[in-house]
Amino acid sequence: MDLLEYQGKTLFHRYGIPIPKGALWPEIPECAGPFVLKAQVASGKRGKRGGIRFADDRKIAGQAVQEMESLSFEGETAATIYVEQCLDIAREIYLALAIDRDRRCPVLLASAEGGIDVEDAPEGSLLRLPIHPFLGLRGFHISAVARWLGVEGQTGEQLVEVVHALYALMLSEDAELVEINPLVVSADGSVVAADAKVSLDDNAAFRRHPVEGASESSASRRSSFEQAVADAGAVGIEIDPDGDIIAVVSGAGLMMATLDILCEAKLRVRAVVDLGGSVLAGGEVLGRVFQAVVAAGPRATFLNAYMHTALCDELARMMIEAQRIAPLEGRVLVRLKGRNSDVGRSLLSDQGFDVFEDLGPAIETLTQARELV
Amino acid sequence: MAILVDGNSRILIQGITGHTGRNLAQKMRSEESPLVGGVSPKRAGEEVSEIPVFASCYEAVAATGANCSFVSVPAPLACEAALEAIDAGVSTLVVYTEGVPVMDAIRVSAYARSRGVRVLGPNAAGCISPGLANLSDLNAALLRRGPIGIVSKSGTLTYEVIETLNAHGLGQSTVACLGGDPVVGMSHGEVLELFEADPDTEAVVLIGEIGGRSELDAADLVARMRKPVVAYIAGLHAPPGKRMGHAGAMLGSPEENVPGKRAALQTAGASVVNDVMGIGEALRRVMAPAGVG
Repeated sequence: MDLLEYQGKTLFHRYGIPIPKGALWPEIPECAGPFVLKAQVASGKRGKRGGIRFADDRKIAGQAVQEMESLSFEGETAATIYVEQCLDIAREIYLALAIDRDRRCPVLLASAEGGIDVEDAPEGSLLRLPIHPFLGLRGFHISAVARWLGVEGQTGEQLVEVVHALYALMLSEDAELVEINPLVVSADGSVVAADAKVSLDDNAAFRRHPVEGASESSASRRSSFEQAVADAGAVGIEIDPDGDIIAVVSGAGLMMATLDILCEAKLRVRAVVDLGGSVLAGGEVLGRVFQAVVAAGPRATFLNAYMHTALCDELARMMIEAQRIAPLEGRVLVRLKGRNSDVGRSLLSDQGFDVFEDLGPAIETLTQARELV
Repeated sequence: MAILVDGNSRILIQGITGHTGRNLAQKMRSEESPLVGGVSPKRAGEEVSEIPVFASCYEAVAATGANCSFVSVPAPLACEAALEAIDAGVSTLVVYTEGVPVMDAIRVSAYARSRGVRVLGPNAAGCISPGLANLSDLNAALLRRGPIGIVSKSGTLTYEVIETLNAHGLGQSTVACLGGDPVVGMSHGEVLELFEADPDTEAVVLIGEIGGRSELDAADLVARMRKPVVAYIAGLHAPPGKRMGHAGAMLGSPEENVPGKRAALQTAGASVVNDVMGIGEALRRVMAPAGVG
């Protein structure tokens, strides 16, 4: 779950990372102008799309806000505008903590160039320090960062505090990314986080305080099909808006492989669904997935399940119930293989489903069906 | 021999009194997999499928000599359960639970490494050495003992691979499913190393997917291996910015996508197939010289 800037800054403030004075429009911060107005959107590079404006007073700010609210940021409009006191910038630094999935640990990232796009950072400009989870953040880590950035004195002391706070935030909130880009050093040497990018681990929601309004911002990036499938407890993924096949599959790996096979057969896939753990959650759950599929209106639906542990006849009964709840339209093909699948297949073919045991013949029939249309 | 689990394995199920745990216990019993005990803190003294339930891994290991564990507990409890099993001295651990916080996966992996314990998962189907021991959710009846090692992230895709192997009369030495989360215990390369040293394994199938470096790092090992490797990478047609069912399967830097991983494995000497259904045939091709000689 990606937080909006102001939500991230609320967390920064709670953990003691200095942030500029700010307020959500129509409030403005209690300080003298000029102000910076920032569109609160999840997509990056908002500055280049007019999502950051400056205003000397409230009146000018009001006009700018009106213009910003009409802008589109990769299809997203700014639900809120965050107003901050303009900073006096002497220097900009990049500082972040992320997860290094391959080293299996947090990694501290630092660059003397703030405002960079970290993926495009020139080779050798970015310090990457893996932090062993049982060692934790140590003084020598932070010294290495300070030397890399070339900061000392009062700025260096504040940097120590900021890095400690970032690490505490990552651990306590289960953040997958905490990025300050840029961390501004003012003329007087003090540091302040000019931006905040925080991504929280959805799987850890059970052990942290909810962030106000946060789920809405992440949900808004799903299409209506993806949202409907997610509400049913499965994973739906849009592939090609012009596609006309939806594949509903019993697991993630098989789902990816099914998508690849269909695309390589030159079939156009509208969307895929990974039933995952919800595969045997009941006919009602599957019915809600079918509802989402029907609403998307594909020409053909391909149900592909191969199960070793869960029972295929149970799944067949659920498909029959789901079909009563939300009858799939167009061509429907079922590939069902695994434990008790012979029983499952005969149940389904009794109900008029087009049933296959193996993947190859099912794909062949789908390909031929396209040629007939 | 075999890898990860074999004839000397003695298996625990943590969370044996839950729905999944009971189902798996019954399955392992019917398959004659060496299940020796279960752990469920509040249900000690009970039995599931005639298997004793213990309050902790310490007691279970002391009473049964268990050396592997299958963790099937709710996600908020998975980290504690896995750490306890490692602490109690098991040598192979499967974390089956889905939805484990990534920081917990990091903790489990770090502790396992410090103790020399091999962990599959979280979100892993587990591992099975057909005819010897089943520490997975795979159905032993659908596998047969043979010379092929399989290492994969996914469970469901592995079923398909086993199918194409069986169709070509190729049995399996061990099947290891690593898990679909971004941070998991073992990587492809670590399993390849075990297969290379295993006398029962003659060739290896490597199944990967988009996201992360596990398959890229494995390429270094493939280059040094004596045994042939056939590889398939899923997710060629995955759209950008979407998690493809597995939390860890997401398009990333170009080399972490299908073409990048295919290229790295091919350069290292693996036979890379573009279609998962073609794996059996590819194996037959790479194994033919040895068979003739």
